[in-house]
Amino acid sequence: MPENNASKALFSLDDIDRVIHSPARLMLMKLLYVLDGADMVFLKSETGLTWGNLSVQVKNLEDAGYVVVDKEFVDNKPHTVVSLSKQGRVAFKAYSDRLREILS
Amino acid sequence: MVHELKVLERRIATRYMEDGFWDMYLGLMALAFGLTIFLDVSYLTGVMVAIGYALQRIGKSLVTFPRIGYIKLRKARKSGMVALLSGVLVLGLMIFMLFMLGEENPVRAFVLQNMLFFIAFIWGGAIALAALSFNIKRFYVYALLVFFAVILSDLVGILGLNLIVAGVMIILAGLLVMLRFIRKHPIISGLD
Repeated sequence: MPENNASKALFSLDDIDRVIHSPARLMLMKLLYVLDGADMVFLKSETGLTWGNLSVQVKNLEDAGYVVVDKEFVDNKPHTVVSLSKQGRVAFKAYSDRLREILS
Repeated sequence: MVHELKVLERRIATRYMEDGFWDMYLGLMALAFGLTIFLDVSYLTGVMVAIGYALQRIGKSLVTFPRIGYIKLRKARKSGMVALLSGVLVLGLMIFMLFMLGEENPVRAFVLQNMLFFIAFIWGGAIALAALSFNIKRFYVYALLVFFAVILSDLVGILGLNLIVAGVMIILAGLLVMLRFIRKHPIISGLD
């Protein structure tokens, strides 16, 4: 890669999505990307995050408009179901494309 | 990345088969067919399959979801599973139609001559397809068990009895899988 392009690519790391870039949120986004929705128990068991941390990370993603949190009843039992919004799906795709571009 | 995501999706779907409930449901179906043939009670299969499905749902709700959580699979994967089941049904229907065609149909005569082999092949094949789709090795064993339970009925016993034995064996295996699942995944209590 010529020097100009290399510095340009490094410089452009600035435009990477910081909301997704944190390890915990990236794990959550990746899990939700392959599903239509999952409850907090599933997200906790898959990521190994504490309840507190999980709630904070989900709230951050919700504030960014990347996930939607709903209360659903499955077999008469309440489940807090988190799913990726359309915006979140687009953002994750753009993030993964950008990361691949940088690493390649 | 796309490949990795597909692997992740498949791993998650497979994880939900590790609770043993589908094993027990499959075993119950074999048992139901066996009892239907053995006792000659035509409605037994329908009743047992419906009860088994309800029990499977309740089991998932009481055992699986509190341990590994509740998920909604992507519509594409659901469609894939429906397509798989539909394919098996269509295959069965096609063979049935061939079987129904005119008296002098050579296919009909061939199917009639090898009826047990066809039943064993369709049933065992459907279970093997599920094993392949979900990457669950023990389902291959069930496929072989059901295949031989049907095909050997001419040699070593009555068809119904063979299926009853195979069904009970699969149910017991499912129970062991469920116990292992419960030991491996304690209930996660907290937010939900």
